[in-house]
Amino acid sequence: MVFSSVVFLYIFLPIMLLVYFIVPRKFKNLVMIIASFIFFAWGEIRYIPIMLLLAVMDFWCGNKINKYWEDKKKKRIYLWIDVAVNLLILFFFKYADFIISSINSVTGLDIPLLNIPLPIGVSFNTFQSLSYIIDVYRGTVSCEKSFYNYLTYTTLFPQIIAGPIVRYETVDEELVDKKISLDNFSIGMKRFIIGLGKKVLIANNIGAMWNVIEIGSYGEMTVLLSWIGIISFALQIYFDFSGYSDMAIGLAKIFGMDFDENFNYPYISKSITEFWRRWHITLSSWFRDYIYIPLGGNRHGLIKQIRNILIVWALTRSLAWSFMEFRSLGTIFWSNSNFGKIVYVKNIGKNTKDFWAYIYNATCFNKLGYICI
Amino acid sequence: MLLVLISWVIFAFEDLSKIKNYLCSMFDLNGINLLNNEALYYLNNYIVIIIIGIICSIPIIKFIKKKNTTSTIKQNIGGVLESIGYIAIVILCTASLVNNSFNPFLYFRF
Repeated sequence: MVFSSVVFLYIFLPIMLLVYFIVPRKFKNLVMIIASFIFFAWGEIRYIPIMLLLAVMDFWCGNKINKYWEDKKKKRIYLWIDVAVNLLILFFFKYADFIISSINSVTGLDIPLLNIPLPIGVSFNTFQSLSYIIDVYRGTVSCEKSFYNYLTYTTLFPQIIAGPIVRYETVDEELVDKKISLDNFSIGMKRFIIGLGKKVLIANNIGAMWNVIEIGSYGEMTVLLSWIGIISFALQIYFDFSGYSDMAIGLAKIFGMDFDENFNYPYISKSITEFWRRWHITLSSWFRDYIYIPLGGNRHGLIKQIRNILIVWALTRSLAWSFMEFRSLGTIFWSNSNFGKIVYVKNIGKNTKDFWAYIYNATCFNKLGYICI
Repeated sequence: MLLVLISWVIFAFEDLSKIKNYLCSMFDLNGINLLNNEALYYLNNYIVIIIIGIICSIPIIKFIKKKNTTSTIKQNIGGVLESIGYIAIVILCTASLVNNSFNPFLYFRF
C-alpha cells in the first residue's frame, strides 16, 4: 500500500485512526502493529514472517547484551549475531539473483534465478534494527524490556517506505506514553496534507512530463528542452521524497510520536556539502554514526580516514544501485569536511567551495570517465 | 545547484551513453538548435507547475509567516487562508488520484 492511494486515504487511514483513538492507551500499540501488518501484507505478505523473526532476534539479542553487560566477550558475540542475521537477510533479498547469475556466467552452470521481488522497506527495517542493537551495545539506550513495544517500533508503518529512519532513542518514551492531543493531531494532519500535496500535485505532474522527455531523449534534444527536463526531474525527486517524509512525520505526529526531520530545503544549498546536510538527513547521519565513526572516523590519521571513507562508499554503493550510490556520495562529502580541509590547506587555495566542487566532480565523474573511454 | 542538476542527470539514467548524450544536449555540444517548437510546447504547458515547484522548494512560506506574526488581523486572515488551502489540497489530491493513473512509486530499488 502507498500513502498516495485512494485505498489508504479513504479506507485504511480513517478506520485505523478511529480504532486507534477509541481503544484504551494500553492497546494503542497493538492497533499500530496490526495496522502495520495489514499495510505490509497489502503488497507483500511473505515478508511478514521474516520481519517477525528479525524482531524476535533483535529483541532477544538486545536483552542478552543487557544481561551480559559486564562480560565484554559475550556481549560482543550477541551484537555480531544480530548484525549478521540482519545483514544476511538484507543481502539475500538484494543480491541472491545477482550472485547466482555471476556464478552462472563464471562457471557456465545454469542455476535458475530466484526472482524474488525486493520487499518494501527491507532496507529501512534493517537500518532500524541495526541502530537499535548497536545503541544497546554502546549503552546509549537501555534495551527494550517488552517485546510488544519493540515490535511496535520495528514495524512502525509510516516511515518504513522512504524514511525518515527512526532511531530507537527518538521514540523509546513515546512507545510507552504517546503524546496524543488535539494539537498534535492537527499539526500532524496539516503535515500529512502538505506531504500528500507535494507528492500528488507537484511530483506526479512534473514526473509525467519528465517521463515523456526522458523517453524522447535520444540525441535530438534542444538545449532548452534538456534543461526543462532535468529541472523537472530534480523537482520530481525532491517532492516525491520529501512528500513521503512529510506524510510519515505527519502520521507519526497524529499517533503521538515525533520523528526526526528528513529534508531541509536542499535546493537552497550554497555548496554540495550543504546539499547533503539538507537531503535525506536521517540516512546520512545513520551512515555517519553507525559506520563511519565506529571505524575510527577521522581520528586515526589521514590514511585510515580515507580507508573509512572508501568502506562507507563501497558499502552504500553496493547496497542498492542508483539511489544509494548517489546518496553515498553525499555521506562522504558530509562526513569529511575535515579531510577536505587538510588537503585543501596544503594544496589548494583558500576557497573550500571550489575544493568541494573539485572532489565532487572527481567522484561523480568517474562514471563519466567510463563514457570517455 | 548546477552541479546538483548535473548529478541528477547521471543519476537519472542507467545507460552511460544516454548520460553523455543528455549532458551534451544541455551544453549545446550536439549542435542542435537552442530551442524548437517541441521545447516551447513543454515550456508553455508546464511552466506553471515548474514555477510552483521551485517556489515550494525554497522556504518562502516560512518567511512570509515570520513577517506576519506581528498583527493579529493578518494572523487571522492567514489562518483562514491556510485552512482553505489545506482543504483545497485534499480535494485536488483526491480528484487527481481518482482520475489519474500516473502515480509512480519511486522506491522499487530501495
